[in-house]
Amino acid sequence: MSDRSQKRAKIEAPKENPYLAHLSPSERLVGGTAAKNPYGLAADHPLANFVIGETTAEQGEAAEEGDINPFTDKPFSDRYKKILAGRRKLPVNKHRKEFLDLIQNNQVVILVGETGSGKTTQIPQFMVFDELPAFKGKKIACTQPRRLAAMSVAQRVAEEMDVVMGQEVGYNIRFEDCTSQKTMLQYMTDGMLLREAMNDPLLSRYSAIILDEAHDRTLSTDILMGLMKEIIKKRSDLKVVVMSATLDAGKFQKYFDDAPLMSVPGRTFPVEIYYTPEPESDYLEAAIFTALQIHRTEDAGDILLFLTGEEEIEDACRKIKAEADQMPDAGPIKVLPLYSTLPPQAQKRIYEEAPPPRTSGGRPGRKVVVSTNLAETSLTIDGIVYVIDPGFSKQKVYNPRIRVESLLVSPISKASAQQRSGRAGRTRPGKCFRLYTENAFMKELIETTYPEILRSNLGTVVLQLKKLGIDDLVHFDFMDPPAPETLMRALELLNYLEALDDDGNMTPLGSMMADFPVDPQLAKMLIASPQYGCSNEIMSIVSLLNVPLVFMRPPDQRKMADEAKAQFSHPDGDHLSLLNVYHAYKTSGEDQKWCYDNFCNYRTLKSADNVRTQLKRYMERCDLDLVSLPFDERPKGSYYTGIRKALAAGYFMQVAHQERSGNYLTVKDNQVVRLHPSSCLDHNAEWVIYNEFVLTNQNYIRTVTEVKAEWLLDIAPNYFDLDSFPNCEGKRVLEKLIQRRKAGGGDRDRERDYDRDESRSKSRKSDRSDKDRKEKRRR
Amino acid sequence: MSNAQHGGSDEEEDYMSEAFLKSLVSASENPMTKKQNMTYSERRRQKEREHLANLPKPLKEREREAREKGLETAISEENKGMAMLLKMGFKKGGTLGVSKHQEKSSATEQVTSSTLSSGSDALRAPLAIQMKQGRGGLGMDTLKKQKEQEEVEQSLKRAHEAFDVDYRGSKRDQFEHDKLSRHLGAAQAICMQLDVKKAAKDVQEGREENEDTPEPGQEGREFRRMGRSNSFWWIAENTPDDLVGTRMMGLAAPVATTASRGRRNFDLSDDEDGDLEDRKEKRVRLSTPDPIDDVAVEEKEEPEAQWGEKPAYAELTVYEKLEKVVRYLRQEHSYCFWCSAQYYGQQDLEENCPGESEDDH
Repeated sequence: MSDRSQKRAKIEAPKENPYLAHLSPSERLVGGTAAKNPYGLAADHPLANFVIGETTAEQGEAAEEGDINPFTDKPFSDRYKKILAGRRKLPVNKHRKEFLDLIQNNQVVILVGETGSGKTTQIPQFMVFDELPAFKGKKIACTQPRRLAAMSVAQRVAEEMDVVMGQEVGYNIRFEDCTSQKTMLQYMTDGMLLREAMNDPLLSRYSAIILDEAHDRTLSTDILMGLMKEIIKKRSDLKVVVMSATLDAGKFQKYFDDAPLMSVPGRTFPVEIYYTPEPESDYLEAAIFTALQIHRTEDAGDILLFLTGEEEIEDACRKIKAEADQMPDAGPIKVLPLYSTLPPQAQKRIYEEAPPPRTSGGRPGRKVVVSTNLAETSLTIDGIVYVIDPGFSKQKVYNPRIRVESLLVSPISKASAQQRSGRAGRTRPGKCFRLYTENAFMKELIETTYPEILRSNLGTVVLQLKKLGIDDLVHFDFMDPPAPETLMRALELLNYLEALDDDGNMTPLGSMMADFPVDPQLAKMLIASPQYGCSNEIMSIVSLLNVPLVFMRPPDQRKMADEAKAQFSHPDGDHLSLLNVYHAYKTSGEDQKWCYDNFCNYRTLKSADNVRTQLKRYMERCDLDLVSLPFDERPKGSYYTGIRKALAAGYFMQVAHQERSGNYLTVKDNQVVRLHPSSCLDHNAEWVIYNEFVLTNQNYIRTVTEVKAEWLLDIAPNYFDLDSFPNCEGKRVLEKLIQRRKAGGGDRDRERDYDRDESRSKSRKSDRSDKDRKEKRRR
Repeated sequence: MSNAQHGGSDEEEDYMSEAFLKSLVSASENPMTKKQNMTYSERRRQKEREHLANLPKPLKEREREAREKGLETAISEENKGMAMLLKMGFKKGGTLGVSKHQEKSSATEQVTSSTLSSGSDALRAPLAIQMKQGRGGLGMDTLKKQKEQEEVEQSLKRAHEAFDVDYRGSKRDQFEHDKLSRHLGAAQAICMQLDVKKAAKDVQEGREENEDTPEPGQEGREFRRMGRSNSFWWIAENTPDDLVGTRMMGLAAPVATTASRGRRNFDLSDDEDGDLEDRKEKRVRLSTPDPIDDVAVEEKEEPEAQWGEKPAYAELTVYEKLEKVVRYLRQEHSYCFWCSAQYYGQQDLEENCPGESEDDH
């Protein structure tokens, strides 16, 4: 072992590091100072005796407890010292030596630690003191599945290390890079690291990769793990730590060829679990009732209630608050919602204290947090003593057969149920109320939640893997291989988008598409947009499609919100409405009040604008023209026609045709769907493109824009090859169109196309009569 | 080519040739000729079915059908993605992932209980989509499904049972049963009428003949007794207690007051009953006033009863019951149910009535 480290020291130590060429010579490793110590540090520097990969826990602790911050050379603040005392109490702190021993002797270490053990904040710091990225010139990356977690943990660690956020410690999430050249520890989303790997396949900028929350098994973490297995073969100096919260770590261990496992027990207290004797007929009502029952009868302690979605959570919050305020014999109550689309300030409220008793000595106040599964692993709320678990969460499902990707309320897994109950025992012994029978727990719940890779569309991932140079996707070392049909669909999509050729090799276009941090369809749309003369507009639309919904619809002001939304709606479709919103927002001078008055989410629009700036940079990098069509040019409406054609260039595989019966049928899969009620398409459009096909109680297509069959045939003749079509009305319409085209000349046809466009817009005004005619035809 | 074939078939075939025979066979399989062979009701039913199938279904139903069909149909092998996958070395019907992983994992499979622990569990088909409807708690859907399934199974079972007996047979039996029940009801009504009449007469006679004549005004009590011991002939099958009461009320008002109490007592005698001779003996004894309460008499009789194994009255078929009542009427009242006439005596009956059974008439 010492042999290897000596070798490494020889390579690393006194050499001029090309990655640090941007630093001043004093900061660089200059050969002359190497005589004193390997890194040119003064003898009294806190890190003077440190040898990369050979430090001890004592050394690290001593440096942390010193007076001078070794990374900034500034004295530690008082606040730092206070935080440090708290850090020393974390369970993981006792395992520093054990961890260093393992990581110094192994390339891959699996670490299991309950949430609250401090692994996410402390382990990366342990590694900073061992890897010394500041001198090595290579960063340490710690991945997080969620953007918010990456941001908040980075913030916390910056405070713990007494450095400025974005300098020594930073974060990098999609569309938001908060790092600098000085950054030695970088928190990032797993998707971001994967994206970085596309341009740096060996991740040579990093000396260590920490994959946190691996138990979440997100799509990107799964791919990253497969990637890590490849990279460590080629880079013996790269350290990998896989951190997981659940005890399913054996699987990770096996996957990484029996890597050593270290487990850090969390600070947990026993939790009593209660089941219901009979299945509940309404889990929401039962949950509210249980919460109120606890509030009335149980001792002090906060309640955490798990529900599935925003609407349900807001509903429950209102009801619990209203009922609890009526209770004369119970203490005051504070009910707080928590879900991912909630603004960060509102999310932070969950850390507030429970309200004080009404009178001194009266019944204690209580905090009730009503949350999605966000509070299951990623966020830790102290003070929770009671957990109510109805046994459901919203989970993503994808089925390649009918190409539907949706969030559906589904039963959780046993592992999730255990995780949830564990949240009750963080500060003292707690209780977990499961709103289902023990029998249901045993028989209805699967062991562990299916990893995301089995429930996702793999279009983006396949393109990324191809870009990474992994050609044999069939034998890629997936931890859980997806269904062949899922991969089949992804390859099909990329082939029709011309990102892959028929042999599955990446085309130059595909390589360009992979660079864009958006779905392949949207990337294609962006790249194609200059041809249609509307890249500026497409950029705006794509950026709005990559942020949460702009339109707000508060439950008590639905009517007003809908009226406000109607101002922006474009009769030809929702994509164009989004464009209208963006233009209106920019015209208003990005005014927050304007947003508030018009029921638009200011935060979302702001981040959309930020996304747009990033996209613009990518467009410029790819040497794509940024153009717009003149708004008033003849023939009338050509401005929007161009945009719609560009949209079709990306979304031609998500097309639906309106049947005579009035509903829509998705092309090729023949799924019966209808327009989502939020759609502003106000007339019977025969052909539409859609963003999403979602399942709720009904089949909906959401974010819809009208297109023309002619365009589809022009844009994607391969996809609209009628031999591959199942029998349906749409096929017959296309057949007729093709025959007519063969008979007449192409030019004349196109002219007619515009004529019909005009006549259509006229008929739109008399929409009523149009509908009547349809009725008659049906009869 | 097709022209030549056409030309050939136009000429008339020799009736001994194979082609001719074939055309015959195909003609019988032809749906057109099949249609002609169908009966009217068959055709009507088929039309109905076709009509139902052609009716537009509700949108939600069509959505669900298309979805379910789509979800269970694997992507066609002509799909472009499949061709690409095959070029990458995929084998049809296989799975993705590293194969060595599979071998290694199978040994340790038992150790980790996780459902998806490794390669050997690699998916062959996409995960199924389960749509949750409403806010039923966890386990509620299963409970509902279980109940539904039980119901379906039961109705299936019932249908099977019904089917086991030949359908037409069971229809005929049903008709037969209904007819017999009607006859039985009528016979019972007559029996009751005659019994009451006779009892009244017996009492009168008894008063004249017998020394232990009960005090006057005991008629009512006698009726009651009659009612108690005999009315199982009168009560229609499955008649609820209160209905018995009202029916009796029409005939003899006082009975009604004790009807429900009395009924409990008949159950006893019902069970013992069966043989006509015994019945007759009992009848005689019962119809003559007895100092001892008849319940006691019956109880006393019980040990010496030999009809233990005989089917209880309630268990008899309708036909058997009718037979018994008819025979009782003949023997007791010289009444022939089928002639609907009361004869002057047994002899008159034997001479003038064609016979005991319906067929004789």
